[in-house]
Amino acid sequence: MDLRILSQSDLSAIMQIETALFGSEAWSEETMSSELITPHSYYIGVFDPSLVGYAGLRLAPADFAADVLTIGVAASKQGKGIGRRLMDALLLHAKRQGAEQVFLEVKESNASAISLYKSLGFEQIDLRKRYYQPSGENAVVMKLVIQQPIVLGIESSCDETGVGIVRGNRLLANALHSSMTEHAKYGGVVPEVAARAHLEALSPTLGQALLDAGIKIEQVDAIAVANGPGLAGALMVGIGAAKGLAVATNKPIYAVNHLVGHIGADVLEKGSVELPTIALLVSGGHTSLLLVRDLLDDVVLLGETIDDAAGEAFDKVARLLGLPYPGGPQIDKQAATGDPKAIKFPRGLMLPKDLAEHKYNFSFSGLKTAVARYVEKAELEGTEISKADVAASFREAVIDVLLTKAIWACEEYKIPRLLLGGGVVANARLRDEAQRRCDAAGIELRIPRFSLCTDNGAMIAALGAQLVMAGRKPSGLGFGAESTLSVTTIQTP
Amino acid sequence: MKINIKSAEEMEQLGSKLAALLSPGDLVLLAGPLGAGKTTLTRGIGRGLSAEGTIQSPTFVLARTHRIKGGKLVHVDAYRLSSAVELDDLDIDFENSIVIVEWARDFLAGYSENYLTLEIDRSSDDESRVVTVQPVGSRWKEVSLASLN
Amino acid sequence: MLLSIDTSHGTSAAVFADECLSFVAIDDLFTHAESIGLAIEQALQQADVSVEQLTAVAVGRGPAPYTGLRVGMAAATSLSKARSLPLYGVITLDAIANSISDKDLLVVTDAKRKELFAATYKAGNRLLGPMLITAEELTNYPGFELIQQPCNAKLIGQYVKKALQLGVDLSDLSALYLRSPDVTPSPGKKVSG
Repeated sequence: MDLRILSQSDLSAIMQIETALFGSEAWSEETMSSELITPHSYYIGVFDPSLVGYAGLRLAPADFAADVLTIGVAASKQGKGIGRRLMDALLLHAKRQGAEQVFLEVKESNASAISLYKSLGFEQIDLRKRYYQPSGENAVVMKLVIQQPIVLGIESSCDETGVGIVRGNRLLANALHSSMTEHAKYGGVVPEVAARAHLEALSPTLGQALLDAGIKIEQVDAIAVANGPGLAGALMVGIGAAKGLAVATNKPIYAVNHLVGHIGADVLEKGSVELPTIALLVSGGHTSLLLVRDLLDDVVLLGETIDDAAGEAFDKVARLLGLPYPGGPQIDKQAATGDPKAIKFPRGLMLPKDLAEHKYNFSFSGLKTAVARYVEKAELEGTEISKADVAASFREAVIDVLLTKAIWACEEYKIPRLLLGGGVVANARLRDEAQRRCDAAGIELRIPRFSLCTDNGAMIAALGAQLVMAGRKPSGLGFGAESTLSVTTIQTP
Repeated sequence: MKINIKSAEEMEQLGSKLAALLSPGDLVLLAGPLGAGKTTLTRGIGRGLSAEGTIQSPTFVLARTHRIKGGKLVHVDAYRLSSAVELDDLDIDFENSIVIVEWARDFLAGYSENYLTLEIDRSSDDESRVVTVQPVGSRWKEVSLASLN
Repeated sequence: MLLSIDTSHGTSAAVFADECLSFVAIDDLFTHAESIGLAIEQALQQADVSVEQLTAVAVGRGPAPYTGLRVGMAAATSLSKARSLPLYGVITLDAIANSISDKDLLVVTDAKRKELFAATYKAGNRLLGPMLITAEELTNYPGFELIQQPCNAKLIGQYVKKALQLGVDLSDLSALYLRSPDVTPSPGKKVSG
């Protein structure tokens, strides 16, 4: 007997059973057909070898809830445990999707069904008189509570020390400590400074997260930690801390990919990540374009920077203009009064000759050099330049390249969804222009709230929770820091 | 020796040829202005060594480590440093690593007795460059650099 | 039951009742992050002690090369916090001196860059240091027996036992780097040159 997801081609087989079982209360074929494709629906059937039973569930991710909408087993095949098998599959799906409660209605007179549901942990919460029409029968409303795993995640890949706690897809805490101010005088992140800061921030940030979540460490079901990519010395502090916690609590540990964590952050925003999606991650240390078909199993790097990360380019150009670190906000300030069309700076890797090998790669080095030459030339000639115009034009060039390539990816792969992540998302112009271009192209744009876009522990916890909910084996205790970890390695064994 | 480079592809190829001469414990210093092609050259070195991970500018992180056969390739950027780089602070396993340092023009004299310097001269506005290779120390005494041309 | 951890040299962990029950050491100088969890777990297993039976944690806080040192300190911090156990910070040179004798000692460990971390001891008490000295400066301490050997979790644990008896304050948990990152803040850099 096979269990698989139902599609339109199964419609007539479904309707045969539906009408036979439910008579005047059966759904129409149109209803059933549209149900199969409604977002967040999950319809499955048991085949032996033809369809003998089916069931459907709808998730309400934002409410962390799910409803069993229908379940039916052909009369001649009842009593063989098919109903239970269907329910088990529905509940597994609901659990994996982060549901904390599952609801269903059942006829008061359907003793065997009610008995099945009770054996699965459902309890009656309500009685709706004369719910079923035209029979006028009462409906028993039942609820199942699902305990989702509480996962604590640690993030220390760069200059933010993050400890986050989630319960399934629900955010419980997101404590963060940043050493950015210590780096300001060095003009950028200094790995040693960052790593020292992580060690000092560890205990207070951990304590803050537990306090914010209102839980004790004993209640945590698993520990997750970002083991790469990032600064090795910084990552090692988080790894040491996570392993200490894992041994202390005797709980499993999951070593996860920091970049994939950024995508996982979106789960905490809406209770689910809409997949597949294109993801553009832009920060000081990373500029990557990803194709995500499955958060845990199928993340592909479409392209990344071959020289400077976008955030880094902002820092360097800010420096050229005599502005302090960090460059992003400083460039923004200047650009506010500048003309983005004043100077046409080059867009890297956008020429036809580049597209064969570098269609989705980024290069900001040429842009940086062009800005440098522009500024130098003016200095040599003694002409005045408008910092505002330079900043605005530079920023425009960066955003142009980032968004053009991201939308190319959406179009080439026919995925009408774009997720933005990373600290550079703080740039309002990037967000506005992304919204404008996505609207024009019919692409759904997702930008999690800022505290989940920058490096944080909650996203690591969320990714860990996804792994736990999917029943994945935890990592061993022997993993190390991988500063150039590939996005295809979502979890290190 | 001086090598004439006509394009970014040739710069990368030079890096790949250089990779064949390098082994763990070696130190290579790259000098040249912004946009000269230091990272491009390093990318070629990485390719020649089949290094794991993409070669990217290490300005933000100061050093990027890539696994290679028999050890590591460590790509350092001293752009944000203005005094003698204390490479030990980056906890580099020198014995087992090939270390490439960008923007090393002013310092590192006296740090190691053996190294190669490559100075990239960007005098024109197009892609052509002149790369001057200078070996220093007994490690490079018997080594022929002819293959780089 | 005391769990002691040290990553000032390799990675090591040890469990103590009154005596040392187990000692696990991984001598590789570049695998602290990989080894720390396993070292602690194995030390507990070999001692047949569960983590719930621990009553205190001790950790070497240097002086030592930065990166490795932090791994052990991070693990010790999180473990002791999770179990609500007291955490004792130990200066590695003190632990080494304690294991040798009460004679006049000059204890040194490798600080890389041709320098040494050093401290002098008389009758078990530290006189000078911890400090950074060069190899040439070793001769500045006549009359002190030179001890050069690395620290480990067993020495840390033995030292803690003694120190607690003597009422030594082990509450300082700051990492001893003895050096700042040598990144001098740079002035604006000229673009070409």
